[in-house]
Amino acid sequence: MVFAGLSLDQAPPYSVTMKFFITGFVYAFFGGVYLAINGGVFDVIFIHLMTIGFMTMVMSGAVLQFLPVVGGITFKRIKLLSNLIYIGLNLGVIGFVVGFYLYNLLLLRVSAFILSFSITLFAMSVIYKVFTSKTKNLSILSIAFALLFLFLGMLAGVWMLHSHASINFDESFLQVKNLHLLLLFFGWILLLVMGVSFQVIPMFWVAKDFSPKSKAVFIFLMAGLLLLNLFFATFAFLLLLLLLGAVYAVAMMHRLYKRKRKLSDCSVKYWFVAMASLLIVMLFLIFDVAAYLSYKIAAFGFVYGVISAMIYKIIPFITWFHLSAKGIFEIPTMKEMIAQKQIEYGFYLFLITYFALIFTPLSDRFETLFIATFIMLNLLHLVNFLKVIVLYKNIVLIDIKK
Amino acid sequence: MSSAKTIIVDARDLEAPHPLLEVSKALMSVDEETNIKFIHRMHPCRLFDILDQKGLSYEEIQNSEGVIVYIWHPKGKKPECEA
Repeated sequence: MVFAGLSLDQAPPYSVTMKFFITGFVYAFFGGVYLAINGGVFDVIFIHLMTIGFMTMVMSGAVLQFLPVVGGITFKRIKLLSNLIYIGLNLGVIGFVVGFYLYNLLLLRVSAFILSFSITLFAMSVIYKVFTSKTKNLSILSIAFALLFLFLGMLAGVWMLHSHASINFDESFLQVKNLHLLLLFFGWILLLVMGVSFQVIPMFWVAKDFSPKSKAVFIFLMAGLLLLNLFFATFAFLLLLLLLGAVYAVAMMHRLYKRKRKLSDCSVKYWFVAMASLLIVMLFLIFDVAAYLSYKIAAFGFVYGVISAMIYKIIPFITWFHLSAKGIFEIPTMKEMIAQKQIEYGFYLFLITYFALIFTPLSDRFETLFIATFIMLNLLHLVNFLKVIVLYKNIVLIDIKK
Repeated sequence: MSSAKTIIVDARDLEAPHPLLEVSKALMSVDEETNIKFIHRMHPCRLFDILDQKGLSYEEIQNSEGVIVYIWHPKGKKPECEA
């Protein structure tokens, strides 16, 4: 048997990661529904539905899959750990949504406690495992750093919530809010994207691998500059951080442009949009212009774009991996698992949604268009991913009957 | 001079999971007289678990071609691993 040696010992069960991915997109879908009812893309409920419900949920699932499969780092009780993280994130985000909606401070505090427990458990488990593991590669180290910054960003968030409770919004509140954004955007999201991209870009998009030195420079500089910004909040350190983000975006676009096999693939277009968006955000922040527009470009163009790019490779790959590890011969190729036309429709819908989001200040019609297309986009992604799960279950079922 | 046959698996232009697929197929041919030269553009992280489980010997080197993994049967002769 060709894949007899492909051990499942190191991979978490199929359901462990898939539930994070599906749930993440369900929150994004409900984020759109919430906007349809209430409006306002800078609403605190919508922001937390997207940042915790969507981004952190999907990224947590990816980390739980990535560490064992790529880094050989295993967790003894992966089901228990993943369930605790999953339940904590869900209770936390639902509690936040209801708590902010009713402005119930007790509920907000309880949600923050549950979320803190879940994130602390996740961060500490991963950091401990990475630093005590024999095999360390730079992608795995970047994940450990990213989780450390998620933990620190969470502490800043808890402090802000405490200020909410005591109705204390002085200068320090704004400083901690900036720190919260800095830690979560650069530390949790960008550092994680960097580390994972160094592994997946050569793997799935046949681009030239970065040299270990270049990877180390990006990862350690990003982590180091963030720490320096934590202790010495000077413009010089912030500028270096922004320049590093810009250089990373350009380097990634260059690698993707020079990739060996230039096959038509919508996931690579998502990458280009995401990296171009990151570059624009870094430039806007360097020149201190268009702050609100930067947030939109960062959240949707960069984060949503890069998640879409990766998820359309990761879900078919995990499905293939689990089916082949079961010793099943007749497995569809990764490209056959999700119709390429569907991915293409999704990409064009993503572009329309992005365009509408950027122009929302000009007219209410753009906001309506953004909300409608955003709901459709998440629905389309969900249908595509659920089809893969159904396909997986059917193949396993047929194999059992044989 | 070694009389062993070397199967060359060049996976530099293949996207995941095809490199693993191609080398897995080739592994079935490894015996005392046949070894593999696997060329990839990156460190093949999943391959080594498979090789350990199959009890095959290997050596990984990196040069301008990319990452090269030489795989041989423990009872066979170690191929000349060019750096």
